[in-house]
Amino acid sequence: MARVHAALAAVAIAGLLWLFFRHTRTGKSIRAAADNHMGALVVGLDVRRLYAFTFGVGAACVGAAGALMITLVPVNPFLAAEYTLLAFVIVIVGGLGSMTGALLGGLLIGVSEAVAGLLLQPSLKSMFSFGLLILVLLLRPQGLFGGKSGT
Amino acid sequence: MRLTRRLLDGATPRALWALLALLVVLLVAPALLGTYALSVLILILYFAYVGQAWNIMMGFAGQLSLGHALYAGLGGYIAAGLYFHYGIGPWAGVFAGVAAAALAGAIVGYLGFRFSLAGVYFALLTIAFSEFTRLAFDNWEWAGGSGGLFLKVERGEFNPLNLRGGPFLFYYLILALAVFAFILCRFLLESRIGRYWLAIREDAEAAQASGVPVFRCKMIAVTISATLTALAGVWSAFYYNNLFPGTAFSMERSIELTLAPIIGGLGTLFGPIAGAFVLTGLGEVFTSLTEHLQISGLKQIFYGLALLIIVMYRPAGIWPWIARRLGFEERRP
Repeated sequence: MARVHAALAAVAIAGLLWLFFRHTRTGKSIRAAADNHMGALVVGLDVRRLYAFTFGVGAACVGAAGALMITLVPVNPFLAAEYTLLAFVIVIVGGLGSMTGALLGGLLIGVSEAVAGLLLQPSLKSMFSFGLLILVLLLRPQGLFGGKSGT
Repeated sequence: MRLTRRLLDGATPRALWALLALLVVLLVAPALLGTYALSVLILILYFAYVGQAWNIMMGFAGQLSLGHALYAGLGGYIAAGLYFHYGIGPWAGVFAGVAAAALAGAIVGYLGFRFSLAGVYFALLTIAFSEFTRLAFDNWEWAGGSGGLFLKVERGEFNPLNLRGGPFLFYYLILALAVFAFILCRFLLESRIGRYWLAIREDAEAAQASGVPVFRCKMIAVTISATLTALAGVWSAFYYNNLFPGTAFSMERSIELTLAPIIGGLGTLFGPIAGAFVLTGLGEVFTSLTEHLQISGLKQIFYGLALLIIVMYRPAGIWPWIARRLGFEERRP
């Protein structure tokens, strides 16, 4: 049951985030600043404050993820690197700056790791994600669901 | 003579005397220091050396690599594995290890630069390759798998031909490597390729437009950097006598290699050395401080805070600032 709750909560948070970025003034400002830094400055957005705020929102979401996760996995102080990397991989595979990309990328990486763990050795499953990451970086650097080129 | 003139050109006499003095101090230091202080000095020289190697890519050519553990790990694992399984001495094995690392560097570089990945995307590619290799070594029996590879240690054994010996041997080896890397970097910077690298770092498109062979220069940078890093990998494998995929190829290791040049000053020659002294020195001070206060874990907090403060107040690194104070700045025509 804990897994179902965690998954539902994750979807709910993602939904709230989506609403925030689509329909609130701050959310739209953040997207504008990401899209065109100079343009955002010109129309009078306080980009530095927006950056700081975005950092906070991001950290809060990851904090929520951590809180949901402790019911499922053992926790230790050295978890950080592994999950930082995993998050990075998911975002790049999905597409930097695309929320659907992050969601679907997360799903894709999660499912493919589970399948690879089942078919091959469990210890080899992450190799699959990194192989996927290398392919995506080379062939589609904007990510699978990203619109325009990220570079 | 032309070579020495090129190496010395533009350096102030004061800086040269200081360098010479430092070298003399480092040469006689083992005779004066105790075991503990010597081990700290070894660590400093190690970080100065690998920092120098990483600096070639990031500081000179402007290519951010966060996967340098790959080259150190490959070099170390192959040389140690050859010695462990077949008794092939490290002086021969080092060629295999370095060749493999240089090849790996060339592959990562070729893919990254051919598909024109820049900045964070290139960095991510280097991480991906490093992690990929870590997982592969985790499952490779020959290399000991996740249980690690251990070299036999016999007390009092001294055999430089097999790199078996005490801290003196490893101290002078890493000192030789660090001096070699320093001179090599100076030479590279003063030659055509160095100028090309700086041009690429400042503006790759403009460099390309003015006829700099950007792709080839980047490839040379990554190959040289990987080669030097692999030498450090071999050295550390025989110094520590053990290798684990989880540490040898970890991201922590990659980041560790980047700290000295970042703190010391990216793209400067002496930056990695100054950075290594400050970083390792701070680390040791905080270790003894927390031991004294008996609060475990405080070391990392202090260490992190110190790094944060240095990066905030000296974003260009501490070396340019120190060099200005001491009058070591180079005369530029």
